[in-house]
Amino acid sequence: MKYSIKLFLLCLLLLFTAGCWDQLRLNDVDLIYAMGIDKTEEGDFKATVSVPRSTGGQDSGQLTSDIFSTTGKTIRELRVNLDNTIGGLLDSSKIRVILVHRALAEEDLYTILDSFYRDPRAPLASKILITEEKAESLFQGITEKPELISEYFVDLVQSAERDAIVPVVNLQNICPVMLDRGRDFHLPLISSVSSSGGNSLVTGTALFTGKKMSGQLTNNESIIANLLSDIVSKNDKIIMTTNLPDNGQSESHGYITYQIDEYKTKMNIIPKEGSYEAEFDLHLFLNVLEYPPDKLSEHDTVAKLNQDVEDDLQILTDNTVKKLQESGSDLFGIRREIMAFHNDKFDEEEEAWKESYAEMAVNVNVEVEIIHHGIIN
Amino acid sequence: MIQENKQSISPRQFMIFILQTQIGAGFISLPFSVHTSERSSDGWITVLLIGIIIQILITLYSLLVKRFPSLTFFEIMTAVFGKFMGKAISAAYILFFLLIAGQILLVYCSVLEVWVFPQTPNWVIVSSMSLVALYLVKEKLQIISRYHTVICYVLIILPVLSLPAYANVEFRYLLPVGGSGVYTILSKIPDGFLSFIGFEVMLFLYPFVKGTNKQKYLAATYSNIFYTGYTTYFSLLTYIFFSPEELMLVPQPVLYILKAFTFPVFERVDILFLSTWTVLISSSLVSYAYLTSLGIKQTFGLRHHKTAAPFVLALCTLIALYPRNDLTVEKFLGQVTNLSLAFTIAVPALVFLFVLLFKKQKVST
Repeated sequence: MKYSIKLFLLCLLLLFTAGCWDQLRLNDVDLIYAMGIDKTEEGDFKATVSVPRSTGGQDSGQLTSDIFSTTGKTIRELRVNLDNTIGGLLDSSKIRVILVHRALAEEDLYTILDSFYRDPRAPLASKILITEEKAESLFQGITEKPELISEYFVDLVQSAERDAIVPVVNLQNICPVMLDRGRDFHLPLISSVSSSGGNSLVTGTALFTGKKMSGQLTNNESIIANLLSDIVSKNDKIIMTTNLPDNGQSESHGYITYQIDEYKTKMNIIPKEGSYEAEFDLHLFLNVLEYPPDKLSEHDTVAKLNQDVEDDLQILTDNTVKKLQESGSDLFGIRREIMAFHNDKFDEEEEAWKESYAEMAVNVNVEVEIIHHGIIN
Repeated sequence: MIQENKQSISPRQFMIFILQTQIGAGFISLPFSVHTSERSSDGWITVLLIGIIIQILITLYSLLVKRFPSLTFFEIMTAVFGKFMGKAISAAYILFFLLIAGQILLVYCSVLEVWVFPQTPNWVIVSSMSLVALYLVKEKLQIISRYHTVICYVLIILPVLSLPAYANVEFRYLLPVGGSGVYTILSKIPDGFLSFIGFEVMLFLYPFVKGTNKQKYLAATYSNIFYTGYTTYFSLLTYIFFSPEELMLVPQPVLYILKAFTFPVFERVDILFLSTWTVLISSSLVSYAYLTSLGIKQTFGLRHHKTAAPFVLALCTLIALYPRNDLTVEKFLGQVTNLSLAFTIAVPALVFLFVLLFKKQKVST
């Protein structure tokens, strides 16, 4: 008797062990993988999302993406509105890439991202891209492709990451830097190849000052900035081309293409009479990939090439640094360095710092050395 | 007076008991609680300082309880202050432990609600934990200690999960060391203190431990060293991962760090961490609920603490369900912090002085 009562109670308890409140069934939800955010003329946000749909049979099922867009006053309201547009329950926890239109980034990026940081299920590992055109048009431009739209953008960024054009960042990585007074960050900038949409390409990086976009760098400038920040991984393939000055060697068509095999960079902050100077040493080791005039085993040729490439890169670097200073984007964390090692600049107002940063003497000393030249001389 | 032979634990179990009581609810937000300023992240210095303060307290405690080798703190009260005063102070301690146990449940519930179960009613989260805890609380001290020992392996998982964070750290956030100023660093000590609470179980378990005074003192010391090291590690990691400004926005930084990574198999590492953390919470809850029941038994002359255990956990559950918004929770935690300073520092210190002055020693055993 007693045993059967116990058994009954146990079975009864079993009913309570299933916590059914927070279940989320996969067949009820529409997972979105990519989201683009624009601004309408009325000042509202406009979101475009791609929802993958599988068509055809189970085996030969092809994935295509449907594109939806709505407007709203906040990002979260947008999601509610989108939810009403799409049949299923919208789930954004699998977003892999977020496209933000440049005009919005110039206003304030944090406003857009706040809802992502606040949500425990938010996809913090997703990529953020800044778009030159409206994000919606970039989405529309690639509808013909059978592949997932998110895959397309992620691949685009990842290949740019391997080329060291853009930094390897995600939603979470940029947050500490965005809120940090001592350093700024940059994000991939993409635009479409032709005005009629179609393919997109990475055109450089968007520079941020605090939470606002304040300028942009071209691909080559961005590579230099990444090298100076010492965030380039060893496996990245950095390939650049230099236009050699005409020096009467008619056999050359005037270009050399090389890969940066290794590099060393060092930042030095020198306090000088109440202000600071920044000194950078950038040492690049090159592997020549293409140089039709050959003769790369001759000491003189190599020495001359070293010098020519060095001059070219020096100009590029100086331009990059100048752009950074003009936009007020402290990509290298010069202010953080001063704060950390000189215990200064803590309480300086943002405007005052921007001014002193723009006027700061930042000297980069580029040194170039060709160390390899492929399997022929 | 006490069933010494029936209820005794080894010094090693004693050490683990203290440690498991310490590692509890406050652990995942400690770096946030002691975060100093937006200048530089000096909270880890505060954590180390708290560790030193606790070492001093442990020394004080062991000097005090050495004089009454077979009495728990509840009984010492009666022996020193007489029946009425002693019982009053014991009752205050019982209430304090009840509050701490309630606070553990409260933090557990609010973190779980925000991070994983937004739809699940609070009473389900809280009462399921209480029910599980009840199984252990009604048992003997040895059995609770064995549970604490078994779950020690869980402690290894957390640092391992934190390793991927090193892909993205900035050591300069720690510099200049002490940049927030000595005053700020010191002023954060009370805020972090609540996360360290648990070492005071020493006062109450001392007579149950087999071993010399030195062994017991060392056990408490090792536990303190381990816990201080453990929390300093997580504080440092937090401070190099988040910039000082961002940390102001993140109340559970240790969890938030894990949210940024995904692995092919584990999509959300923070949930893996939370389930590990739940085990650690259960051990603290069990310890405090046990102490409360023990106190009720000894103060009010019950035959077994088992009788009190269900009521104790029911009260904890009610305490945990009472506050409805985050601000009330904050206020409640602030008050518990103040109480904990009183009950772990002020009262034992006064008792110690009293004992020294009046040369009370080894009263009836």
